[in-house]
Amino acid sequence: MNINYIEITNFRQFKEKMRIDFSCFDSNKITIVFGESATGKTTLIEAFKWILYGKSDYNNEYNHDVASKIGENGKTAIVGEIGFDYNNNSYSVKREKHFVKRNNKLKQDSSFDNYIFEIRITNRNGINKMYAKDDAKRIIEKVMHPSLFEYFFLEGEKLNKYGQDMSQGKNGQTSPFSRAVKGLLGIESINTSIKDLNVVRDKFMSDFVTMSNDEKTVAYQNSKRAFKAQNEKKLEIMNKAKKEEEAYKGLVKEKEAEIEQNASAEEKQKRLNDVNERISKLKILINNERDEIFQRFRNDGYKYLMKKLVKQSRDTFDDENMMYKGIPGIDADAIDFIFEHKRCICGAEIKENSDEWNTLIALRKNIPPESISSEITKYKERLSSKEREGELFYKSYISKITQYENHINDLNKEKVKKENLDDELRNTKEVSNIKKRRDEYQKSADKNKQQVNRLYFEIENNKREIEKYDRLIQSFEASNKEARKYKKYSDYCSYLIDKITSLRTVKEEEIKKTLSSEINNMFKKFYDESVNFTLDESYNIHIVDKNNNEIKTFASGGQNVAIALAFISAIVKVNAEKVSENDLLNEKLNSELYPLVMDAPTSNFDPTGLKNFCDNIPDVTNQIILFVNNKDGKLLKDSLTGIIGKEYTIQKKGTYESVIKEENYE
Amino acid sequence: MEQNRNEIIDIEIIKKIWNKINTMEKENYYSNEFSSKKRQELITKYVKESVK
Repeated sequence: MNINYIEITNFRQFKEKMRIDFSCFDSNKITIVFGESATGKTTLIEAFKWILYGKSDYNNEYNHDVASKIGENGKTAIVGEIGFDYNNNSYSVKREKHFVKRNNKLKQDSSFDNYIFEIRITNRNGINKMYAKDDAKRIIEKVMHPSLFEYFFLEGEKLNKYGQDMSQGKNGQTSPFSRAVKGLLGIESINTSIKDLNVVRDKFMSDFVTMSNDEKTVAYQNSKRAFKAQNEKKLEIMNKAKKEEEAYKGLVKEKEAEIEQNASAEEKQKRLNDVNERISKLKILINNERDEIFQRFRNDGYKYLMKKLVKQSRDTFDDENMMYKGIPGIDADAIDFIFEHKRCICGAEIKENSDEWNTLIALRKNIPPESISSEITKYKERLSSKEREGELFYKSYISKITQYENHINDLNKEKVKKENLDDELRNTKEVSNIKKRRDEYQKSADKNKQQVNRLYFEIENNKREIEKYDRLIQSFEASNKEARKYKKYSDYCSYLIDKITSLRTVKEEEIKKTLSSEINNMFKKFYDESVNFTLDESYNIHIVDKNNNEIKTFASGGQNVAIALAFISAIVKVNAEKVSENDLLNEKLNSELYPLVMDAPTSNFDPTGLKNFCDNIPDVTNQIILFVNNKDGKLLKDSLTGIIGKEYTIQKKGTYESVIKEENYE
Repeated sequence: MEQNRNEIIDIEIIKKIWNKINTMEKENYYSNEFSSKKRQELITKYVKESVK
């Protein structure tokens, strides 16, 4: 790559259109631009960056003087153009940024589509092709990737700092140098691919975890096993409970039989109770009857006892002589009436002293009250009455005694019954106790039955759970199979990461070896020091003496720049080396030999260092553009005599304006 | 034999990923987010194609 020219208008202090044509000949490959401090040397490096990538270190690239002088709604533009040759084509890269003043402030002019950025490529046959915006951007990035820019367009102060950092071990994995080296030599791409592969692997793994039901399957299998184990245990308990239930049922049956067996006793007991009750009643009754018998006898017993006497008396009075001779039914009063009226009751007259009359007088003597026979008759009647009373008493008394005796007999019968029942009951058990035991056994049997039922339902529920888990496990089979594919992808990514990582290690070692060798060669061209440089994993340079002891306080300012230059030139050379077709990791960002554009590279050198710089820098690459301070000018020019192709001077015209003038070198 | 063949496939995959990453790095310098996402999508695709 060779840079042919740069043109800038209204870029910072370069108010007017300025152009620098760079020397492109291998024989005089150097272009020097001189300038005092703050005239715009660094601005020119920034101008390269702005034209190529649209970025710079400045907040505003426009010229302050131009910006302040345009009125409201006034317009202005920054314009830049770079011409270079690359890969046998000529490139013209043009960038414009348009502004308009609104409210006394410059704003990007929206009437332009952001900015104009275009590239015209002319091939060796003179055919032009234009590319704009994103296409142009892609082309520029292909020609010189932005990550390379700062190592081929070096600012002096940064150069010194890079050297310091490198020699003091401050590079670190993320330092610009470290990144540059890795970027240039393809290591950064390897790292990027490893990072990407890691991300992809993690995503695959995450998908695997999300999709996979392996864990769930295991969990379900465990749950299933747990339910099975539970069921086995429950079944065992249930069987035991069943046995117990059967045992208790047996006991209940035994007790039932016993109860049945003893049920007659219960009836006997009832009968005994009845007998006892009857005995009690009979005893009371017999007592009462006995009392009554005695009482009756006391009261009326004589009636019976005098019966014989009465009979004898009556028999006595039944004698013929004792017979009644009167007219039955006629008493003395009736005779006396006939005597008084002298007329029979039939009406016939009865005369005194007649026979009838005398008969009546005789009759009168035999009839009561004066008649004994009448009295006997009455007496006999009383005897008969007494006799009847005696008989009645006797009958009634005998009947009572018979009743009493019957009751005594009844009592005795009941007593016999009682004795028999007592004997029978003496050998029987209390049914209520048996019933109590039976109920207890029944309760236990019921309890066991309940337990059996409960366990049965629990076992059935568990069986359903087991079936559910079986179905789930079965349904997971398919998804697990799919998920395992993602595990394979993840594993394959891991495999690739390992492979690329190991390739990177080998590659990096090779690169470091080559770089160390180049750095040593180049540095020794600047300073004839008996030291060696080695590179650590962060591309820090370690300086060691001939005894391999590290030197910590080695570098001066010039030496720092020399270290940085040695490093950069080593990178340029390694980068420009043609890669092997068989190299797996052969994707260097670019193998083009780039020009070196350096701002104040010599400001830290002593005269020896400066001379060495001048002697050796031309060997680094095929085009070198130097922006140097006037104070180094003469020595530099003297040292580079013969290889300077172009020379320019930046002159300051005012606070906000510098101009570039080409020196007539010839 | 099988192992050698797989080795070749692996290397081809690495190269494929590799070249793509580099190309995309270059093409998408100003939009790294997009770039890394795209790169990862491609890697995903390649890996899936490679693992059958």
